[in-house]
Amino acid sequence: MIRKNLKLFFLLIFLTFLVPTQILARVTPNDLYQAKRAAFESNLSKIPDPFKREQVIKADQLLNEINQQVSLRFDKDINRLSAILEEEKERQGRTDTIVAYGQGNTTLDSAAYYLNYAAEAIAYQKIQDYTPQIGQGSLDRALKLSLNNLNGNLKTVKGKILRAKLEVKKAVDYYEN
Amino acid sequence: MKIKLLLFILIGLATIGYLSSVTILKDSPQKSVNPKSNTPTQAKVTPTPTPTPLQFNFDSSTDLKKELELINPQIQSDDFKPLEEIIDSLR
Repeated sequence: MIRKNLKLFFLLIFLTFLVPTQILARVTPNDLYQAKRAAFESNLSKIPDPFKREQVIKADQLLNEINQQVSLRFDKDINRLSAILEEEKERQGRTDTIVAYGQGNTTLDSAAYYLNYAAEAIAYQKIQDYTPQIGQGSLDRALKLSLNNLNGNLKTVKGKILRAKLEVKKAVDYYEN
Repeated sequence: MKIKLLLFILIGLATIGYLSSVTILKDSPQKSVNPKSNTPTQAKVTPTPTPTPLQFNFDSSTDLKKELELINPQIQSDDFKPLEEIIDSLR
């Protein structure tokens, strides 16, 4: 009896370690994205009205296009800010550029830090996915949710660019006065 | 006897599941997180260095304060207009 129970005990331990490993090993960000897309495609085919289906497809494409379009504009702002900071550094005879951690000791260091921070935020924003989660509730509500999500994230990135601008302005004001 | 058979089946299933998951992961092609973004720069999330100024030729005579004022990151309401129209049409 005890021997039988021991076998069962070891088997349970074996399964406890084995089963969660295979479940965790499967989930990657790409898997989540693929699952989201698959659910979208599947729910899309369930929309009976062809006009509505077409509109949802358009909206899905637009969400991605808007994200890329606004992110590209933000990129230009960051490039201009970067050019201003580089020029200021040149005027002050500074050659070092990258502040990886911390905000640095001078206004120039601090500006470089916040510029990197904003540039990273834009790069991250560009790869975000806003596939509408249709299937639960009304279509317009699902699209509105994705739109609000995109708008909110873009506003956050905008805030980071404005912070970088403020830091560059501090540096320029400090040295140009 | 029945318990032994059940245990044998359970171990077998767990092993097959594990081996198949390992094989699937090994054979699956490498994809970016969001395949919609297909340019290589868009797929990177790693920290980027300070962007290099490519389009601007500033020199010592440039008024940097003025240049700074020109920077105005914007999310225009027009950006979302086509999408909002679609949403309205679905109401």
